[in-house]
Amino acid sequence: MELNLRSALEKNGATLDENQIKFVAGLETALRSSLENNETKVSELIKKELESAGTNDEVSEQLRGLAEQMEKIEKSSITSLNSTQKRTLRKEIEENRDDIVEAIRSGKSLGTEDKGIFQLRAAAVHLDTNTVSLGAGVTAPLVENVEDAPALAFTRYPENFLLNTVRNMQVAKVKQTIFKTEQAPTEGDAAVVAEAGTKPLIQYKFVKNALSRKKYAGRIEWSEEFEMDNDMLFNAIVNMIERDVIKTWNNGMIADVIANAVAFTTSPQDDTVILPDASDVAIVLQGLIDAQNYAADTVVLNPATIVSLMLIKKTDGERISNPMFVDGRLNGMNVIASNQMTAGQILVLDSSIYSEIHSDINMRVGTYGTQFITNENTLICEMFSILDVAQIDLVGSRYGAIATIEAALLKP
Amino acid sequence: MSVKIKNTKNAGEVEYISYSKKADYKAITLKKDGKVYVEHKTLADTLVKKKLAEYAKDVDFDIESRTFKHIEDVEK
Repeated sequence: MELNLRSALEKNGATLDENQIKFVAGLETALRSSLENNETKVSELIKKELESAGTNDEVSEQLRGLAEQMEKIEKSSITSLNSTQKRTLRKEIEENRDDIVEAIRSGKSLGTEDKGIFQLRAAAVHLDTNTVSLGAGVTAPLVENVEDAPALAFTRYPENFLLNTVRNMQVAKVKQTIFKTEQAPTEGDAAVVAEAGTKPLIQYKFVKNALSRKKYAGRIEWSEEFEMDNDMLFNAIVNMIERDVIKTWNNGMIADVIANAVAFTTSPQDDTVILPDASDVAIVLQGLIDAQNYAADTVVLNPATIVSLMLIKKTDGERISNPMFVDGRLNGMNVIASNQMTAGQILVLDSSIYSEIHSDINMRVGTYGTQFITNENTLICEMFSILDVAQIDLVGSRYGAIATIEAALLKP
Repeated sequence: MSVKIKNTKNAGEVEYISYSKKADYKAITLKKDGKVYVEHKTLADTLVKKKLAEYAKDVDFDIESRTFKHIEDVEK
């Protein structure tokens, strides 16, 4: 049987280094032998090859490099798996994920038990050999007339909008817990009293709730050589971890606001709205909030939902303008378009019910374990935050699926 | 002048709606788009009753916890 793994990889744009060529050649020989004799399962062969392929570090590095190149090839190739293959692959990945990730991360042995070799991509120490790779079909330049662009291209993320909406402040130390004393239903009530009449007894009651601090953090590790050989990239990576911790913090707060928001149950407008759309849903939720003596001032929607609102036309193509949705405001509420909001969902809130207290972003560099003798460093990046809201105020925020609320509003 | 209608029968009790437990929610399939939604049982029951949705079978879900804790839940 014809089997040439190296040729197949290179044909698809992979560039193998010396170690990877050795590994692929060994695997290829073993596979060919097995297929000819029809004796052994391929997974066992790969496992055996892994065990005999030099040191664990080398194996991990080779596999990671191969996995990265295979991913590029997959992206540029049209590949289709049938449903059974997809299920099997997913099951293998799920079953072996923890072991494989740990093996790649720590460089420890992979395949000592009956495990697969999937999920080879995992965070690892930044090294000269594993952080930057050549794109599919890209080779080292052989001429002088080339330029290494000074700017890096980054993945774009949704804007961190919550801190523009909710009151927030930075403090040196964020309290571990905020205890909120909240009014509970009062016993008795004031009333008009006749002459010589007994005044009604009133008892005010309170309940204490607690809010806990959260820590958002991440770390990077790198070798001395990586920092030495990649000035621009290293500085960018340090900025990136700070950006990503802030992103996680922002996303965490949004997730909390959504989890806290009250679900839609019913409204006075049920069964009364003709052809309801997202703007109708927003206004109905605004009404529910305002009916509780709050003032809804913010609507958060996925951009796709907002685009749909702007494209409403008559059957002859004439655009229908929505008088409630003008200049980025919907019935007086600020409309925020964010990809952090799932398409088809809506969040409406009185932003004054929330406040947020956070620490500075703390970044420290140090070593742990054997990093000192292997010339490696660790940078930790962390910040603390507490999202302050009273339970009693949660009726000032509403979250739900636009389609189901539209169905409730629809006039039969 | 304002008028007030007096109840001659039982005025009824105030109904408190819980939002925090999994049992407060139900999974439904909306007929309009065929998608599964997890909604508060009040809305879910209303939409099913209006024949705009059906209860979704074999659908499990989690309710994400809120940020606050009742005082008795706080770790000492």
